[in-house]
Amino acid sequence: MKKIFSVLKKETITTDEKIKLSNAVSMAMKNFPAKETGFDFKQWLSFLQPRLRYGMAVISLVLIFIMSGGSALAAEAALPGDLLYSVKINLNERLRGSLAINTEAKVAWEIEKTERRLNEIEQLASQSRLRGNVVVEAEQHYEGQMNKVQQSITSLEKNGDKKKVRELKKEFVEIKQDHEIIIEKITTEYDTGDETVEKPIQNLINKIKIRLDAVAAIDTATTLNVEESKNKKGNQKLNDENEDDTVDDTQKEREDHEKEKGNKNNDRQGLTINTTSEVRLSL
Amino acid sequence: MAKTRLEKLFTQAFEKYQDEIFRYCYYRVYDRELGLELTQEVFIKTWKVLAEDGEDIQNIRSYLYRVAKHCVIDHVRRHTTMSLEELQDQGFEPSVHTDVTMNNMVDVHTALAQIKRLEPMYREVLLLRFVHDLSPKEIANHIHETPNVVSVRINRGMKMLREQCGIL
Repeated sequence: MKKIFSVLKKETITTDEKIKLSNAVSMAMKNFPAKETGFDFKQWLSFLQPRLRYGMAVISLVLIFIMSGGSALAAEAALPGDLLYSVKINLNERLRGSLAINTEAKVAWEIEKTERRLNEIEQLASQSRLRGNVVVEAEQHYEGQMNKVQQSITSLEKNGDKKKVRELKKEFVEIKQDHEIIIEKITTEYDTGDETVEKPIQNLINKIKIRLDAVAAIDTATTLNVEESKNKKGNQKLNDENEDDTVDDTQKEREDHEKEKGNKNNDRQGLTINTTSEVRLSL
Repeated sequence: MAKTRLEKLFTQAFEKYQDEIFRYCYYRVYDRELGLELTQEVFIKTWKVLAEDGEDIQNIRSYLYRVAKHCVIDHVRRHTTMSLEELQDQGFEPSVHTDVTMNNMVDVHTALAQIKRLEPMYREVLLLRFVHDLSPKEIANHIHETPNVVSVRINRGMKMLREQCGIL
């Protein structure tokens, strides 16, 4: 069976026929010259093998990845006024922020960003670059960041775990304390006598202080003291009432009361005035 | 004068595929001279398209086959089908070879005569597959069928050809 096809496959044009055919085609080529004028990149690309084109696409993707990765890394060290600063704010920080799964992690990241903004201002000051538009840009970013922190802490206070809120606030107060001293130094370092330079910096420093105080207004320590004192008061009242009740109530009632008391003491931190009143009602 | 890119591309294609296209035309019109004429027509038409439109031909081989197919169809439409007498005048003796063994089949005419006795749809796929070495997928594109249909036709065609040649 293969012989049929191998015989048919061997059939070729003879040399004479090839010459004739070639002449005829050459004539046609002379009569109809190509309109091609120069190098056409699009056409040249289309004639390339698909594999080569695929390879080129892969290479370009790798190059883009390397270049973008490199610029993202370089942007980490960028300060307000730098070209890559927008990459740091809009790409790097947003990407990292999107990795924060829950609300607590997001608030923690917002607090970290506040520290980053403060560090940037300090770095600019140390490099004597805190002038003109740089001051304005730094101020804008700082203000925006503080708004975000304030909002996120407020919303977490309403909806989230109070213990976690306390921890985060404590963290924020620590950052505030660390940076207050350095920020204070900037004012003295920029004592140039030139008002146009000093005034915007002074405004920036004032704003930083005001916003830091505003966010840290509900101090963790005081929050804890207030809550603890509330708890103590609630427990005291509870004990007092228990003593009164022992005179009037039966032995069974007293046992029930003690059970309730035991349950409440186990949950010390969550004990508030409201829960105390609930205990009272149950008694 | 230096050759343009299109001229180079076309000349290379001409050198490489002229025999293939010739066989394609010849085995469909069963006339060597006519096959040569059609081959010439195929290359001239392809050149005109390239020269006039600068058309983006990604696979010139399959483009040449497509042009060849249309040239053959046009020729068949223009001329009435060749009678058996005419074929015999040109050296065709299909009836003589119905019971010959494969070992005796030595020339193109006898091989072609066996192929010609097949139904056109089976003949076409067998030639494309075993003479022109096109894959079932390429054949499917050429005849506007699915690769599955092509594979079925190849199998059936081969079975018919074996029966014709007395190989069972």
